[in-house]
Amino acid sequence: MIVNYLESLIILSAILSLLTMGLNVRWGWAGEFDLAYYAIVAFGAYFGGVLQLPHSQEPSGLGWILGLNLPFVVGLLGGAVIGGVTSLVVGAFALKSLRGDYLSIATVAFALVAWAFLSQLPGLFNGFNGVYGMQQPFADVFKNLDAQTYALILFAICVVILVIVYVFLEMMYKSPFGRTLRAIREDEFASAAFGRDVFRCKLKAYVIGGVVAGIGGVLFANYLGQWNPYTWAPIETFLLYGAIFIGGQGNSRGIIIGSVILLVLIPEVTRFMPQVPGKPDLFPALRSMVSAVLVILVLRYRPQGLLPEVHPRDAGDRAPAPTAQTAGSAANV
Amino acid sequence: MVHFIDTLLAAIGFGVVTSAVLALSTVAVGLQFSVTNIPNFAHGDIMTAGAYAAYATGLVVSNIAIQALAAIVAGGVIAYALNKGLLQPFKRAGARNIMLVIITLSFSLLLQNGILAIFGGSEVFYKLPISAPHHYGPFLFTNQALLIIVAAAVFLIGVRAVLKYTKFGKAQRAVSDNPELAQVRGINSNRIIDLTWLWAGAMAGFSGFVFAIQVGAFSPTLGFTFLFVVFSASVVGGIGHIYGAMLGALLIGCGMEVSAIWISGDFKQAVAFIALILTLLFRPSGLFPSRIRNVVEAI
Amino acid sequence: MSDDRSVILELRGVTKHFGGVRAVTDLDFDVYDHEVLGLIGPNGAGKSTAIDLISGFREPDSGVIKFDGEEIQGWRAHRVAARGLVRTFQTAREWARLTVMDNMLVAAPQEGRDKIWKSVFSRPSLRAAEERDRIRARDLLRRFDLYALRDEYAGNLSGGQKRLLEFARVAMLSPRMVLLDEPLAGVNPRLQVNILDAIKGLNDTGMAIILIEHNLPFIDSSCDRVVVMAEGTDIASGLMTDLRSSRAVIDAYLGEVATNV
Repeated sequence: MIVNYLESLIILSAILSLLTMGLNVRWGWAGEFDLAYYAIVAFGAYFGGVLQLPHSQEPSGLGWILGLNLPFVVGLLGGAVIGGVTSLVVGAFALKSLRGDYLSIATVAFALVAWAFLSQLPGLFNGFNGVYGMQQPFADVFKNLDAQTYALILFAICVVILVIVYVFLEMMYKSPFGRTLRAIREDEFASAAFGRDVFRCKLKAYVIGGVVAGIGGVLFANYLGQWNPYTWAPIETFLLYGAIFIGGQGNSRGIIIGSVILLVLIPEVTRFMPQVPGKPDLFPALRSMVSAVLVILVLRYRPQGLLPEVHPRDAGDRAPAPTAQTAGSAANV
Repeated sequence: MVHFIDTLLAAIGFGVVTSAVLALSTVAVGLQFSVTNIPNFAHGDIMTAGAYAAYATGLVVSNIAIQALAAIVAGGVIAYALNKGLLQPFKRAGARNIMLVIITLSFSLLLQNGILAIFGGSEVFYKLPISAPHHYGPFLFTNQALLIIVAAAVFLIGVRAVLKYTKFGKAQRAVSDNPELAQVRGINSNRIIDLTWLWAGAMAGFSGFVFAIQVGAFSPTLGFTFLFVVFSASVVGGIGHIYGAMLGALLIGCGMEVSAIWISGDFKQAVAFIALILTLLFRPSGLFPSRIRNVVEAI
Repeated sequence: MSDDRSVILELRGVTKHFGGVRAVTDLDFDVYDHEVLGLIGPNGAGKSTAIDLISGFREPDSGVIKFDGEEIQGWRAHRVAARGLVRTFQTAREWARLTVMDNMLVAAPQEGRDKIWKSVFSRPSLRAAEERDRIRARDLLRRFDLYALRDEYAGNLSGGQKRLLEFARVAMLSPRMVLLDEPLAGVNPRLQVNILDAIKGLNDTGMAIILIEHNLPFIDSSCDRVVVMAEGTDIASGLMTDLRSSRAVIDAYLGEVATNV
């Protein structure tokens, strides 16, 4: 029982860490305060569901189920693609020369419009009922195993996906491309003055974040078995930001720690607190308040997060000490 | 055809009421945005706080003016505290603009959940004695609706007068143009900014009170969902321009109500957001561009 | 001074108005290859706007700007920079949360290395190129006496050090031409000789330079020629010594820094 619970926590941590890592590409790498992220996750989740589900048994003939019944891996890739494509469209408009704070307003508007359409139009993704009935990844392959073992397999699958994404992202972060993004994050004008196409680079970061969002969305939806407008709200993006602030925006391991603390530990710890009779909203409200205060405190007193950005020191070379002929002594300034 | 015109006019009538509420809120946030250069994501929740303050006062005192006053005071105090207690310290520590925006968003969550913790999540009712709707020309208004429109009009005229004729208003515009230059000319920019937060917050509280009257029943999420409609009106009209804010509110408010003729009512707000997106795409500085604030950066 | 040198930058009739403000009107001047040109004038003359227009940070309403034979008016900033025309800003804009060394590596010409797929494939060639950049960067940092600070966050440097880092980054990029917007602003006056050396150093590598400054003795010691702007347009150009006695220039500066002329 306890083991099951812990297993589900760990799986959830892996999935949420993945989502946060995708957002971090936009914020931590490129400095984009994007609030549409969770909507992209949702698109990935819906699309993955549509790809994987068999024909509906129900007589109401839900038109959105194409009956493709494709395997999980296809769903995963489909989610990645839709995440990337949606991000390309949104980013192409939102990132083009809008000021940073207007970007947040534009993206949240997009997310709210998306939420309205997705929940109100049954023709798309079944409105408020959403997609459901997804199997957990490879469940049919492993159907002969008992629940315990399957849970371990599921955990392994999540970790494998997380590790693959982690490795790719780390490679990009440490490359000249990653360094360019960080320069853009620090100062867009100086970056443009040194020849960087700021819009193009930010769009690339936006799309990469979207691809990860799509993958995370499919994984999440398959884990939960369903996905509908109650599963996600545009404001959830902010909780992912909180995880980034707390963990450390430049540091992938920090992201994972931040996700675990804010998105898993705090909700779980407070889950077991006693309910105050007559005030069912009290503890959830207090929990959210604690999260908000925590974010504010971290931003004020430790803005680099728990694990600060890593910058490897330059090896240096064996060179003679600076001679007196060099341009003055900056050390005297 | 006549029937359609009737329906259209009725919708516009509703739209005017919505616009009145929207205009109050939009002017408040636009004024504060143009002076401080920060879109305040907690603005909606300050409205909510005003609404709840009026409601809570209404449980004890039946004088509606006092309830309104409670809303105004609550809004002003909370906004002032947000600036003094959070934003100023962050600014002094060297935080960048986007970080201040993030702080307002965090404060929004804090405030919203604080209200949730105190009042619970179920809807509370806030009703004025309602009369039957009367025809005023082609429009149909209840006394309540009229009260809202009149209150909004009076308030907005007052705001315009303050901005145009008082020393404070002129100082605000100077700081809005160029805080450093204003400082050089002897204006205490920081104090003006403090006072701007105070009175934008007071206006937000008042707009929350008026909004509460319009909807009659509300929960802690009242203002937050409305916030983005307010941002839409702000952007469409043009940030920092009071006539722009009013026009934006009118367009968005009526647009929402009129669109409900053809599309389901749940989509109403989406209309506002689509207007926002289109404005940012094609005319980012809004209908009344303010030459002070760049929406677009020349990179 | 013979005028059969080649012209690297040409401005003809460049105009920019903002709403009612006529920032730059009908601006005309040339910059010769390899020269250091001073751009001076009273406050509000439009010098910084001119820099913005040349470097692509603002688009002129009309006029022609020709760099190295090509018309660049209307080009966006990064394209102008990539073409070989770089600018600095009134406040030294370093990349604060990157190390000094990373600042140099970002400034280096990327030659297509900063594309996405290159970060995943072709890693050995990336490493080799980066090593070459590092060696060059260390050399330049030593020359600007910033070598010891190479692992510091650039944001932690003093104002003067940030300005020198700016020069080092420009040297790293080694463009054809650089526009320096008030490089002495915010810098300890004792560092002026360092800045002067830095400018001369850049010029020695073949870079043409436009220098905006209010400090006229500094302009005198660093520039070959000077263009004077007032009220958005050019009113005089030539050698500093000749301009000292120019009526138009004295009028423009009346009440400003007339005693320094």
